[in-house]
Amino acid sequence: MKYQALVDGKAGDHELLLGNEAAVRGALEAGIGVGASYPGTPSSEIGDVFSVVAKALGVYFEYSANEKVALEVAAASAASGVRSFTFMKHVGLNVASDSFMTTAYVGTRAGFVVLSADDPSTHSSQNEQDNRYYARLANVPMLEPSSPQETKDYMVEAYNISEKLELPVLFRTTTRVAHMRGDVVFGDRRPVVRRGVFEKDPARFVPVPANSSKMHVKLLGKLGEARHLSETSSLNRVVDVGVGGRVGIVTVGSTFNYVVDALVELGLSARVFKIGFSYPLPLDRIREFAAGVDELLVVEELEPLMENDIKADFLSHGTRTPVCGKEELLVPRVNELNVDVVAKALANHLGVPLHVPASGKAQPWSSPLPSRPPVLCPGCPHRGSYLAVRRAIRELGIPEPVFASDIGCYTLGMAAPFSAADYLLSMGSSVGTAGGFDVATDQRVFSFIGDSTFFHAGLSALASAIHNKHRFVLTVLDNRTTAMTGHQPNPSMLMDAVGDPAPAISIEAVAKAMGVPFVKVINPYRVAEATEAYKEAAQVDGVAVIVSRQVCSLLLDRAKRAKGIWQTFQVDRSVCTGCLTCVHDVACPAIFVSEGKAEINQELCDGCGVCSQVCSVHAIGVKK
Amino acid sequence: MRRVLAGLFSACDWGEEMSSLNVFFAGVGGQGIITGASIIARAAIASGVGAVMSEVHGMAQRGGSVVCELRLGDVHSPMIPEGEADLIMGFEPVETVRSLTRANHHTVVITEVRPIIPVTVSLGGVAYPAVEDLLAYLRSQVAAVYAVPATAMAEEIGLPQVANVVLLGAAMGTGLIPLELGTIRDTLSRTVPAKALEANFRALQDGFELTRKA
Repeated sequence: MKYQALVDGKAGDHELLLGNEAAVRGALEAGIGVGASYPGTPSSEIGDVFSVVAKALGVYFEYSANEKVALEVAAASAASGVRSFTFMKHVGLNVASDSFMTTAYVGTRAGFVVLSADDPSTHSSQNEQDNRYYARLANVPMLEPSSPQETKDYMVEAYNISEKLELPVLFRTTTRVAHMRGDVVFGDRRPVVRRGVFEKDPARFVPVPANSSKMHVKLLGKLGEARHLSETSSLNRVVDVGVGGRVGIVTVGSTFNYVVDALVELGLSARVFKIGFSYPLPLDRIREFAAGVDELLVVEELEPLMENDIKADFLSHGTRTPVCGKEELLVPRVNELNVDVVAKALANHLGVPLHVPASGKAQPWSSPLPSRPPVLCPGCPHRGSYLAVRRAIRELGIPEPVFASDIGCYTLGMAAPFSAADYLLSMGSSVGTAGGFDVATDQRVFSFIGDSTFFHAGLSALASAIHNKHRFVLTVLDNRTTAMTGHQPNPSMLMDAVGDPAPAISIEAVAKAMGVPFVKVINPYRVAEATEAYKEAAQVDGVAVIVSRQVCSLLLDRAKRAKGIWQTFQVDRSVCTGCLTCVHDVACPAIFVSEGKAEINQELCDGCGVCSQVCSVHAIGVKK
Repeated sequence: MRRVLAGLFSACDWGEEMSSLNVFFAGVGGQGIITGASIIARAAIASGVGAVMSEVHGMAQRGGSVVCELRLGDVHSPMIPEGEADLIMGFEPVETVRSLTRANHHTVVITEVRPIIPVTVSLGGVAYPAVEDLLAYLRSQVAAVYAVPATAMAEEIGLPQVANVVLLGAAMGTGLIPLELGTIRDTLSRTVPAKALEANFRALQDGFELTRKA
């Protein structure tokens, strides 16, 4: 079994782990009984591992329809005495936040950890919001590891803190911790407690107005206790780089790594206060620490949160040590940090020369290199859907249509030649925003949502659109999986998170039951039929739903290879006229131009055949 | 970062001035880049050498530029500072040249020679430069360039997927990586499916021979 080491590993064993894999080992060492999530990068691999190991350990794991449901499943489990874990990407916590905020009021019985994987530099996200604000907003303690080892260790500590305070603990990672791979030494695994008992206590668990103000008072009391734990926590510690450092640096998470490497690179000595228990901050200890240095630098990614807390604290305590943060050090408030950015800030502030490679840096290629942005894969069924909708719009002569897009691989339809993503906010936003464009303009609206995203946040939006008589064509790009995050199951599938059979919910049946006047299922690999369906849908006065169903090509390719039924397409150069319609309309990574004619890369072609259907001279056929 | 000199094979004897080795991997999604880097990292840890890696997962399943950064030794950040790569492992010629931002004039480059033409080129974007020009430019910028027909060699072996291990072997052949070839073989034995093991061993050896002789 993959990830066997995470199951069998004994205390003292070493394993090279991704931060996300280490989070699972930590949760297992803490003896969790329930895990629930909705996949989202950079947190996705946590669920991938649970999918494989949960059953073997007697741990319950599910992919919920969205992050809010996942958090609720975990919160109720923890209230019933079962240690529970929910994890999501940063924007997932926005979805879960309504319930998350109140879990702080009602508290927990068994340990309850909410992991938020943030994405500074938006490697795979729509924004780079700093979820450390959520700890402050909800008044819950927060831990932030710097490495896979700490991710594992801090998870265990998070459960202890959660039970001590009877509060959820926010566990915040970032891409560079979640997707950092390093050596992890295991600890002992606590036995799994899978079932508890929910003991009723309405004064504690039902925040009606009469109860909730009391709960708030109690929560603030717990926050005081949390502050005490932070002051005494070994997760907050001083690391001396070099000897006799007169500069103090407060830092947290992955930025700690950059600070230490930058100091070594610059040959500087400094005292580094490494924060691991980051909310509430150990302000008493930071003040003591500051008393022993000439100045205090606060280096943190994104928002100046620690900096503001420390500056306010020093002001109220009359602490004289100067504090330098974002503005003083010129550390940007956007994008992730790295050794280069931190070294530049430190060198500039402390007046030392920047380290340059002795031999001088290589010079980049002088002219632009061909770009290689992420693209729809060869054989991706979304290509057929976009091709068909574009052809239908062209044939009907629809001027200036608006494409309301959503979160998934299909957002890549934004690129030429499809240009089929004009507006995007969040999971499920294609449906609500489509209605908005319909209400506010005379333009025709086409919106696109994935099968997993449809169940995540599309359902209630669709109900709203139907009831309010909005008019648009909604395509559910049903590729039978949650593709972008690594092929997790969703409620339209016959299999659950751990591979057991599960009831599948029919998207077209749901749409019909809601009263959608036009529902049609198409196969996007059949371009002509799909185009006709779009032409029909575009005439509907109301919401038209097209379910474009074809399994994700990555999964299909795997299955085809396993069954030995692989085929590819090739161009007959004696027939090809060099019109390049296949190149410009299909935009498949497997098709390229060679001496004025189309050519198909046999290593990349997956045999979907869409290109052969757009060739007017039938020059493209199955390779014999 | 301070450099590790070629030929230092004793993992515990790097000395204070030679504390890290930075290996930058660049290529196209689906080429087995993370797998290749992980094999070195696992072998390093098995040899008592520190290893940290940084990967970017997510949107680019196939066809997009992919990088992976590996640092051996006593470092904290898993990302390689600008100009500080000791070794660049390029899985595609344009991607190799793109990664020159991480190189200095002492950097050693191993690169696959077979291009993968990005779809942007077909759609009328910037033309794909001649591979000879790319290689010549690399040679003008770094200490040594090993041009490796890794995919062709893997095809010769009968398993195109082991091109990444050919490149791994080529990296070992340069003597820059302070690990024993046997440790890499042991790591392959523990991570590769049994039926593909022989092909992987041969890929490692073929790559190794190629750069060792060069």
